[in-house]
Amino acid sequence: MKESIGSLHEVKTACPDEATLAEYAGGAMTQWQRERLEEHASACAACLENIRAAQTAERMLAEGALADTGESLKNKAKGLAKMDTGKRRFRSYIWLAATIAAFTLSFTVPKYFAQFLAAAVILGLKWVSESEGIRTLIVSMDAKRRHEEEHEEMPKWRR
Amino acid sequence: MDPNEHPEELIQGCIRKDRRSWDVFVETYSRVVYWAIRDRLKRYGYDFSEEDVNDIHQDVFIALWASDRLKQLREHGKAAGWLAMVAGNAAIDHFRKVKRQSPPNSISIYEEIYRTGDGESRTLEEVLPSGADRPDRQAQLNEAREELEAALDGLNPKERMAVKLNLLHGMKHAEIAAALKVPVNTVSTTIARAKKNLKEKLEKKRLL
Repeated sequence: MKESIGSLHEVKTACPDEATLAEYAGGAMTQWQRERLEEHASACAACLENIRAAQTAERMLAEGALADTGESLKNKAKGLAKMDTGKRRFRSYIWLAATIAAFTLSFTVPKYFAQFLAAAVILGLKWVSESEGIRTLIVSMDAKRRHEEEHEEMPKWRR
Repeated sequence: MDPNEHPEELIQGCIRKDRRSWDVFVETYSRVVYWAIRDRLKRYGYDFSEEDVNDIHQDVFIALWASDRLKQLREHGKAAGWLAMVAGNAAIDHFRKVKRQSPPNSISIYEEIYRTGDGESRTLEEVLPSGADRPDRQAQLNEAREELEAALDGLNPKERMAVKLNLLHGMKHAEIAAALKVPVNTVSTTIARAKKNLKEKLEKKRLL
């Protein structure tokens, strides 16, 4: 949120985060905090755009003017809660370890090469199927990392 | 659980990873996230698909659930507004970082208002009526923008916000008053004064 689209004034200070802008909208800040934020936002198109979006969303939701998103999209989001990432990852590692073991055994025990290789393939497929949420996991970790980075960059608006 | 009556309870439930709370939260706010993503991408002039919107929608909810982003929210009664900002910014981040695309048009906000603004927000049309068909409209808009900034110099930050939210971001007087926590009359007076000042400057420069 560092851009200053539409504004000729260069914004010198970093933007307040969304939670701070929500506090501003909710009137929860002290006069001094409000004035500091206004000083920044009055020269920052990105913050003004956030304020507009927040105000419009609150109004439209209250008026029932926002269209429903459909079950598929909602179910996908709800499904995140069903994903116990720790347990899933552990189970996934077990299948991976079994796959590696079967693959290794297929070479160390030549007599049962084909059997162990087939077992490695089956276990490997099981590992892949258990890892179906892998993209979600990667995105989650990336989101977490970005959130931590953003948090470090954030100015202390609330003092 | 009614999210409007008990926003605090709902948010705390989601933070505790309570699945029922999460279901209610998604049911209530999915539409806000979806709207905010589309709104922001449209206003910044991005060419986007339904798939882009769905991906960003899911990424926002992943950040809320897996990264505990909800812990940041301090004003629980303003969850919809906060989410709209988070989703809008996530949409821009997605296009910048994943698709490596900067906003296509740096004055898209002005263009949007110029074309489709309604009611009180149609202010650039008001101040630039004769220039609508000029071939150098882009230059005309840029010059008008510079003059607007100059016209705003004498205002305090709150007044400047009010004028910009109206002239550049298309908000109505009542919405601005609610956002800035000031009386509507004050907003209307400030905007009328700024418009008059701007009009004089534009006329002097023969932009009108």
